[in-house]
Parts: sequence; structure tokens; C-alpha cells
Amino acid sequence: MGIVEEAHNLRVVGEGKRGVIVLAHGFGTDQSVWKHLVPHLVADYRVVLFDTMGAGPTNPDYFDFTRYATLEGYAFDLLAILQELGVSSCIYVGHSVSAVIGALASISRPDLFSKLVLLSASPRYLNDVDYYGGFEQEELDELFEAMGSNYKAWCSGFAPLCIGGDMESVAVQEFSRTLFNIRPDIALSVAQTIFQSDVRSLLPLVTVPCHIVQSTKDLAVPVVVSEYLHKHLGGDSIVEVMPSEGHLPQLSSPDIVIPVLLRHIQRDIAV
Amino acid sequence: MRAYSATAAAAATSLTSAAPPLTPDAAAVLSRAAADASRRRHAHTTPLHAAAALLSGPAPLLRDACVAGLASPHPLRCRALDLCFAVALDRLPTSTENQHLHDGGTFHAPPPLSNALAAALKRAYAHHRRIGSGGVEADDHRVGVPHLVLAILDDPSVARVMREASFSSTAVKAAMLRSLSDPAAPDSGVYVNTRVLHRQASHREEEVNKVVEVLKRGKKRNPVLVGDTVDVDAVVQEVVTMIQRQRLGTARVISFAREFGDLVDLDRAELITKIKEFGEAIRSELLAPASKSAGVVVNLGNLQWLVEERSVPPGEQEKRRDMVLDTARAAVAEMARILKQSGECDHRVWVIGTATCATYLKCQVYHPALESEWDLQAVPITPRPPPPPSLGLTPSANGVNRGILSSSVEVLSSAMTSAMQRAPSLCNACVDGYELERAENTASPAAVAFHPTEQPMSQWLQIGTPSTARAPFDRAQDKAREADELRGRWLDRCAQLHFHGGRAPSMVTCSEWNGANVLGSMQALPHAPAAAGGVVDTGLALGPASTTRPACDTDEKMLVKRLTEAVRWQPEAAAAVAGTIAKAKSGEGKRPGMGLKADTWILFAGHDVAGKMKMAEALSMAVFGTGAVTVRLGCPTTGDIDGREFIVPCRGRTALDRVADAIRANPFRVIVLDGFDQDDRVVHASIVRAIESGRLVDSHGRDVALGSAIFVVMSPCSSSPDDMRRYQEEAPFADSPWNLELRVRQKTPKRRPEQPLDGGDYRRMKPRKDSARELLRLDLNLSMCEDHTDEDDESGGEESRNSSSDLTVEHEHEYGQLAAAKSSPPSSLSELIKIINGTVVFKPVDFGPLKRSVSDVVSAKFGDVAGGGWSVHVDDGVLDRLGGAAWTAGVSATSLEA
Repeated sequence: MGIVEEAHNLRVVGEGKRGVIVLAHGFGTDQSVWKHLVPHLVADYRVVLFDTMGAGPTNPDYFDFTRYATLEGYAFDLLAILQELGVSSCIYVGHSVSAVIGALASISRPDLFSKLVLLSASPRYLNDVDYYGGFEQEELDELFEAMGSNYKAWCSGFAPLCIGGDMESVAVQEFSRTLFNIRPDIALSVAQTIFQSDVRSLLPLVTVPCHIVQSTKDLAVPVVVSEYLHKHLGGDSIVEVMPSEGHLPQLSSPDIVIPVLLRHIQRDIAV
Repeated sequence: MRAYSATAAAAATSLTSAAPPLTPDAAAVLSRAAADASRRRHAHTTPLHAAAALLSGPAPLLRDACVAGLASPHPLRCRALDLCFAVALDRLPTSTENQHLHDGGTFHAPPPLSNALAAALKRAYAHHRRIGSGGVEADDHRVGVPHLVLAILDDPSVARVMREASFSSTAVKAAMLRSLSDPAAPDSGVYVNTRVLHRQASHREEEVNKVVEVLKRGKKRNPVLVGDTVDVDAVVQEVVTMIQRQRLGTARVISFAREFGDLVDLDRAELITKIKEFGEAIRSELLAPASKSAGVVVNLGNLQWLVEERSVPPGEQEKRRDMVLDTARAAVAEMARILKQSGECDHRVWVIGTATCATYLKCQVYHPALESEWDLQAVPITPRPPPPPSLGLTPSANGVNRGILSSSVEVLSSAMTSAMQRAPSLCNACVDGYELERAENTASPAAVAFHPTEQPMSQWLQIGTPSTARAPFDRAQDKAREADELRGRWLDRCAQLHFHGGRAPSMVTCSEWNGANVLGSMQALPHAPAAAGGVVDTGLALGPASTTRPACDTDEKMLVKRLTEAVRWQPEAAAAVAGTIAKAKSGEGKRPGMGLKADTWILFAGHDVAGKMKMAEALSMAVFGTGAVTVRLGCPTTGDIDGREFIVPCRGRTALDRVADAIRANPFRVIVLDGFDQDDRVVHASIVRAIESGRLVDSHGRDVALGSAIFVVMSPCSSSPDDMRRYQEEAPFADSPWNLELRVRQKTPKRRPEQPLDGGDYRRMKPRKDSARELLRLDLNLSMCEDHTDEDDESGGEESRNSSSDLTVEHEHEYGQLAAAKSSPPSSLSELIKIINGTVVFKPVDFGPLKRSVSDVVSAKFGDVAGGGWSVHVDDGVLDRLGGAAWTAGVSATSLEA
């Protein structure tokens, strides 16, 4: 077992002949977030699952706070994984921050990505002049402070907020679990990196076709953000807004989301 | 789009016909390049098109190599590369001929290959023949994409564009070559988190197994893990974890650090007590009835405490060393006792320790019994493998500590060589230069020094520059690589400039080296010194050994030392001479419009003839390793005196001819021009011209280059006018024959007490004329000479004529005031002083002590001869002469007494 495989809990499932699909989870979750999607893919694809560094199941010792202070660190990880597996081309499905990470990686190695499916992606969470990201700096500061002071309490509050469902739902339980698995200091660092990131200027450099998929109602990503992505991405892109709620629709509303994702995976943007 | 592919196909056929056979991939690259050129309406398909095609193509070969060639890959850097190539292509002039192509929709043949691209293809073919097809198919004789990439990287236009994008084409090429030579090794690791790399499981497993092997042995079963602290700690941790998980039986681990704190921080006074307590703890652990463990593994941690204390400031460490070592010795013995006792009662105790290489070496030195008493086995822990990016550049730092610890002897030798072999085959001067440059590099800001290629990134690239995550490690490695490259450069330089190999260097003594270095800035020898006869080949290292100031300074000091040794009574003059030489050789002696001046001219002023001659001789020996040669410009009658080489004037040869001959015979020595100021205007003008032009014209009109010779112009006067006058007054007297007289009179102690003859007041001692009772009056000129010869074989009457020094003793002298500025020496001399490298004024010698000793010796001898009743008084005039003669002959007063 290679070191990268071990570090990222890499799993390759499916013997499909239609190519490689890489599924990348977002903040606060791990590869289990794709549990509803994976069964639909294994017949046709080789599905690559992994945990991003800092996620609950990864070794906290590997988390290098400087490396992961920017999203590039994660982009390198992704490229390292693809290299380790000898993937020459893949369909990349990234959720939330991992969607952006995939986009960054594709700037460096467009040859490795045949298309990107960006689920609940945002190039910037903070509002700006002529840009609505959904957050003000004060809100973020409060969020970071809450995370720092009592991580457990923050988790139990953040999970339902993020999922957008009631406290008792399975999805919220699940997200709370994975969220709480992260070492608090790492979680704070990751959250800061994500929420303070701004990759808007890099979007024009993304030349790989992008499928932008998101919920109608998402605490973290307003619908206009998808529109922004569509307008500014360098390559072809298409937007689909699903009638789902929450930032983790693949977990909370699999019935709606999985068919949409499958459609985007299987079909290319019509020219 | 479709139309282009048609062009491409056409291009491919036309290209492949002209070029060496290509693999389909390589042909496709060229087709795309041609299509691009065609689309951009360029007249030729250039290497730039090919590079752009390689970058944009499906095969990521060049892109991978670019990333691998980087110290820290940035996802946007490759993007920058694309952009830079795009811009470069945009800048290429469009061809008017192809203007109509797109309008008409018809396609001509694609733009032909530019000469540069054709050359690149040839190079690609050469690469193919040299390195093969990179493991693809052995018998494939077609040029593949890798070879194309290598060839394209060599193209200057491509290299320039890559430089604009902050890529080094050489680094990329190295990465490329590496991937070619080892096709099995993927580029993985380029992007990998270093912390992940750090914990490379397979690597550690091997080392853990080694440690476990040692633990399982019957003898020498206590492993000491030797290596970098980070590495050994990781391995120890894994071993301990294994033991705790009982994978190795039921042994338990007791960590000293956990029980009592880190040993190295422990108060020395408590050390033994703690160790005893620890021994008790081990024993109770073993004997505890509840304990089923088969043994105890004692983790002692770092053994540094055996040789030094950490908490003590470095200054005090020396003082406390004995105490530290004593307590450590006691601790070693105590621990040995514990181990032995525990071993007796069937329970087994193991010890695990760690040490850096240096610590372990020190342990072996200060505690020679340690290994046997503790039953230790050193286990070398290799540093974790370097991340692949730098592999192509083979940092040597990684090789140093690898597996050197298989035996103690090896440890020692390799540690010693590693300390010394920083620059193994560099000569001293180059080592200095290398060290200096390395120090400069280290001192400069890290980022600039170690990632020079990474700095100029355009604004948009700087957003989210990759974190410094890899920095510490990478930097250390880059540092090593940097130092390595630097050393390589110096090695090259050294090999070029200095004669290595052969027998010569071994014959050169240290001082000769330094002498050679004084001539630092001299050009390499045009020809070997002809008349060096028997002398060490002084030419061997006259390359620009080092033009750096520090080297010169040390050389100057060395020269001062040697000159002072030779002429002890003129230390200031020696320093002045060395200073002048160093200054002249360090490049200040530039002749206007003539480049570096190699010849040096010094004026030796002052009356200490012997000192001046000796100084010239010593200078020649120190700098060139060969004796000085003296050319007398004025006096026609000279001979070979006391072994020194003189050029004797022959008939029909002018003084200038003799100088020219001396230079021709050997331009690598000191040539003394004696009697210069008495000379005629012609000679003087010629010499001035020679100083200015670097060439001397003899009476036949032939000229000779002055080469590297050092010319010493002897001026018997210091340049102060007073001295001049005195010298002229006294010169006739000096030339007068010796008229010695021996007066014998009765000893009259009452009337004539012995007066001190020291320099301060001997002037008052006028020769006494109160010889009323003289009994004998003899002309003893002859016998005096004989006597003199008895005492001193070397001095002859003839030579003493030259000793003007005895006459100058009375004068008060100011030393070292270079007179050119404030006085008016003879015009010929002052003119010379202006253009030569320097004037050194020799202090007059104080003859008091010498004369007194001469007087004593003479008195004693004559007293012996004459018998007890006679006192011998030597006249002062005679004393002066005797002293002068002795002095000029180079004999010190002490030897005269002998």
C-alpha cells in the first residue's frame, strides 16, 4: 500500500469500463458522504474514494497547518492521489470546498480531468463589492470564535444549520458525527482556510468543462454564486439548481440529487 | 477544426520525410506544432511551436517534467508556462506569403521546419541513440516524444521562454532525464504532503525490523539507534509501540524519560541516585509477582547525557566537562551493574537508546567500555528518502550518513572524512573561495537564495502562493544542493586553474603555496621557468589562485613572517615589502590600458645594505622559491661573492643587456638592480619606460617582457636629502684602504676605566691620544686581516669596502617616512619613485652592541696573545670597520664571538 493511499484512506471500487470517477467530499465530512451515490456508479466506472487531509479518519499528524493554509495544499494532494493511482483522465465530482480544489488542480493539470462536477461550490463565501457570497466578515469571525471556544457545541449547532433539516434527521446525525470526528484545532484551521478563500480570479483559468450543481436553498452557497461560476469559468459550464435544501444535498436529499449527479456524470455538455 | 487536422496530416508526412523517423506520438506533436504555425501564419515551424504543442498535447510529459523540476510545484506555474509560450508565439512575425491561406480556405503545405527545429530534431535523434527509447521498446529506433522534449529543452528560444515563466530548462531537463532513465519510477511525490512522505511506512518497517532483530539476539542485543533525532525517534516510537502491543512477546517498556524526566536535563548531582532508583524500579518490575512479563525494555532515550549537558551554556561546558564525564562514567558503570544483575535472575533486560552520529562517536571516545558493558549494538537509521523532485540533481547530503554505522571503525572514519571532505580536491585557495561564496549564499535571504527561479511571479500567480509547507525540508535540501553545485563549480575552477595530479603538488610545501598565492593575480605561466634548476617548480600554481582579499591577507601575513625571519632586524621593512607586494599583486598595479601588471618594482632605500640584500633574497625565496639575482648597473667590477649569484658585466654588454638577460633567464625571481642611482640617463630612461610598458628594450633593440619578476632597485640612500649628503661625504672614506695600526701599551686600569660602548654615547669616546708610554707601534694591517679571517671565514677585506653602514650609525633616522613627497631626492630617483609600486626605507642598524662584541672579542684575542699585563684598546674607527665588515658579511655578533 502506498503512502498516499494510506494517508488518504484511498478506496477504489467498481470495475467499470467507462472510466474513472473521483469523488471528493467537502468540509466536515468524509468519503462516506457519497454512500448514496457510489452504488449507482460501480457498474460503469472505477470509483475513487478518499478522505481529504484533516478529515476525521485521517491521521492528524499528517495535517500540516502551513500546507493546508491555502487550498493549493489540497489540490496537490488530489494530484498526488491521481498520480499514485496512475489515473490519466477522470471525471471529478467535488463537493463544496473539494469542488474548488478540483478546479484548482485542473488548472495545473487539465489533462487529468475530462470534466468537473461541482456540487455546492463557491469561489468565495464573503460578500464583496459586486459579489454576493452569503457571509459578512463579522459572521465568519463569530463562527470561528464559536468553533474555537466550544467545538462540540458548535458542531451540534452547525450541523442542522448546514444540512437544513431538523435536528433529528439521519443526515444531521451523520454530519454531526463526521464533523465531530475532526480534531477541533484542525477543524478551525480548515474552516478558516475555506471561508476566507477567494479563487474568483482563478476561475478563467479553468478550461475543463464544469457541471455546476447546487441546492435551491443552501446556507453556504447562494444560487447567484452558481451563476457567477458559470459566467467566469474559463471553459464550458452548465448550471443545474436542484429543488433540494442544504449544503449537503447528496446526504440529505439523495432522491433528488443522485439522479441529477448521474445525469451530469454520464452526459457531456452539448456543444 | 477539421481543416486543421488535414493540415496536420499533411504536415506530419512532410515533416517525417525530412526528419529522423518519429514515433506516431512524436509525429503528432510536430503536426500540431506545424498546424499551430500555419494557423498563426508563421513562416516556419519553430521549436517554440513544438514546445507549445508538447505542453498542450495529451501526453503530459513536458508538463510533468516541468513540475518535477520545481522545488515546490504551484498549480499555476504550468499555467504561466502556457501563457508565456502563447505570448512568445504571438510575438513571432507573421509571414505575408501565407496571408491568403485562410481566406481561400485552401491549404498549402504547412510552414517548413525552421533551422532551429531541424537542429532540435537532430538532437532528439542523438538523445534517442544515447539513452535509448526510455524503456518503451528496446528495438524501437524511432525518435519518441521524450527525446523530442529533451531536444526542445536545449533550444535557446525555448529556454528563454521557460525562464520568463520562472522555469529552469536545465532543471526540467534533469527531471526529464531521470524519468527516462528510470521509467518505472512515477513522478509521485511531486505533489505529496511531506508529512505523509515522512512517515513512509515501508521504509520505517525495514528499520524497525532491524532493531527488532537486534533485540532478539543473544549478544549485543541492546540497540542504539544512531541517526538524525527525528528519524531515530520515529523508529524508537514504532518499536516501543510494537512491544507495548505485545507483538514481540510479553516484554514491557520502561522509559527513563517518563519516570524521571529527560536524562540530559537532569542535575548531575542527582544522576547516580536517579539511576539507582531506576535500577530499583526495573528490579521491582521484574520481580513483581503479578508481573508475567518476560522482560523489560528500558528506553533510555537520547544518550547525549553521557557526554554533555544541555542546560549548561556553552561557555561553562568546558569547565564542567570533567565533572560531566565523571558522573557519566559512574552512571555507565551503575547501569552496567543493573543490567548484569537483572540478567542473572533469568529475567531479561534490554536497553534501547538513541544518539546522533556525533553523540555516539563521543560516547565511544569518552566511554570506551560503554559498548561492551551495556552490550550495545549500533543500528544506523538512514534519513528518510528525499522527495523525488530533487532526485535528478542528486543531493549529496543524503549520502553522507547512509548506513555508515555497521561498525565503530566505519563510524569514525566516515565521520571524519565527512567532516574533512567538504572540498576534497580543492586547493587551499579555492577552498577559501568556496567557503566564502557558500557563506555569502547562506547569509543571503533564504527565499531569494534558494528559490531564485520562483520569485518573479506575476500578480495573479501570487494569490495563494503555495504555503511554505514544504519549506523547511526543501530548503535544507536546496541548501545542500546549492552547496553541492557551488562546490562543483569551484572544483571545475580549481582544476582549470591549478595543477592537480602529478607529483608537483605533493612536493609543494605549505609556505610555497602561500608564496605562490601572493602572486594571486598573476596570469598563468606562459612557459616554464627555464633556469629554475633544482628549485621546486614554482610555476605550478601561479594561476589566479584567488583574487579574493582574505586570501591575500593571509598570504601577506605569511610573507611578512618569512621576510621577518630572514631579516630580523628590519621587521617594519619586511612588513612594508610584503604589503607592497600584496598590493601590487592584488590588482592595484594596473598599468593604464595594459590590463593587469604582473611585474613589481620596489625601491629599497636606506643604508642597511646587508639587510636589503637579505630582504631581496628572502623575498625571492618566499615568492618564487628561487634565489634573487643582482645586476649591477653602475660598478663594472663585481664578482661572485659569498655564494650569491651576480651578473658579471661582460664586454660589449650594457647594463640593460644584463638586466634583459636576467629576465630571460628566469622571469620568476627577484631581480635586484644595484647601483641604480649612479647610473646614466640612458639606462634610467629605459628602465622607466620598462616600468611603464612592461617590456624592457636592450641595447640591440630586442625587447623582453618583464613577466612576473619583482624588481628591487637598491638605493643606498634613504630618500631624505640629509642622508644623501652624508652618504656622498662619507663614500670616499669608505673606499679608502684599511690602515690598521696596533698600539700596545701597558695596562693602566686606574686611568682608563672601561667605558660602555653602546650606541648612545660611544660618539663621545674620541680616540685617546694619551699614548705617551707606548712601547710598540706596528703596522698591523695584514695581520689584522688575518685575524679577521680567523674569526670569520666569510668576510674578506675586499667586500668590506662596500660597507657603508658603519658610517651611518651616528645619524638620527626617522623610519618609514616615505620621502618622495616631502623631500627632494636626486631627480632620477624621484622620478622612479613615482612610477614604481612602492618604496621601502630600511632603518639604519644600531651597531653599538655589535661593535662592543667585536671590541670584546678582539680585546680578548689580543689579550691572550699579549699576555695578562696588557690591555687591548681598539680604536673606534677600526671598530666601525670591523663591525661593518662583519655585518655586511651577514654574520651576527653572536657568531662572531664563537
